[in-house]
Amino acid sequence: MPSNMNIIERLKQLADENPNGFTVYTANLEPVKSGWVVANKETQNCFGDQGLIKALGVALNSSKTIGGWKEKELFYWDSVMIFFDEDEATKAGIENEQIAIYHIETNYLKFL
Amino acid sequence: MGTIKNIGILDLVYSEADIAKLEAGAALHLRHSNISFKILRNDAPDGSTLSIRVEQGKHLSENYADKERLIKITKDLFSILKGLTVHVHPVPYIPPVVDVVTPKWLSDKMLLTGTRIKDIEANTGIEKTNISPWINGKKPMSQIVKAMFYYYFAFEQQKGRTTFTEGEFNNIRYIISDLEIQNDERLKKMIREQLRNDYGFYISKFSSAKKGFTVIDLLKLVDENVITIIG
Repeated sequence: MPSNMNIIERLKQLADENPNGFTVYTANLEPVKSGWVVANKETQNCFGDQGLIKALGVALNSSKTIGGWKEKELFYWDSVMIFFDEDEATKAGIENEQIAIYHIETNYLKFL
Repeated sequence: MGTIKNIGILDLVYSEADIAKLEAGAALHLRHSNISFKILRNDAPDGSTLSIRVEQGKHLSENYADKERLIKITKDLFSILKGLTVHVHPVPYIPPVVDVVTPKWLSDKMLLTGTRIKDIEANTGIEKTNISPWINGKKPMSQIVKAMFYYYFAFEQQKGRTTFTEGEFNNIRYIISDLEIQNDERLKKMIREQLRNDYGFYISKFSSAKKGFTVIDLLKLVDENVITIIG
């Protein structure tokens, strides 16, 4: 696993290259390409460098995924949960007060 | 939020809550698939029919939707707005040409064009300690790096002449016949360099095959008028 400093630098690079959004696994920084994505309410409103550190901390202790997107001039970071079962994803989405969940490989949006 | 371009068109027709829900859905499509929406025009005075462009860009997840899927995604999303009819103009993602650049592609091009890391270093000013990890796959190439290598080698392959005097051509033919019988990789490299430096003859310009370039290949180029011999 890369060191935390390397992870932060690489994540910032990924953010520059993918301003509309991305999600990667913290272990290898490879993109998440399948599964139901559910946002984790613990990492809502994490932006900038401090937000990255907070989201990374949550990610390393939970779902091991991190990503983000740029909105106006700020880059928002979050740690999402990945599920391979729709019912589990739906339950987690409701528990995390999400308006919707997303199935990555089919680009399918499910409102809750 | 304004994730959907020209969303303001809907302000007077639909509720704030419906528009917020629509925007939240569009934001998820953008974040997880780089799919974006733009309202092109209002096709009916009462706002009941819209033309919408949906476009997908490059995304790390590599889950790309075809036209039919983009149309369905758009209709599903905008179905939040009751009574709305949408005409969808889908623009699927088309990978850029530079996406062919991988560590293997780089190694092949270097071999083909006789390019060394120190040549790239000299021509680009990028230190070889940065170049090597891209070539051996230890460091991922950003889109900018891929573009740089793609056009670097496109330029390298454009180098070289296609017109030679009879004397030059005979010398090239003689050197290539020498190249054909060489087994020593170091000597082969030197002969290729001699062809490039003395005659502006780049084998890579005429052949991308990995097997050795032969006199027969050379004569075929003359027959096909790829190479011209002048008095």
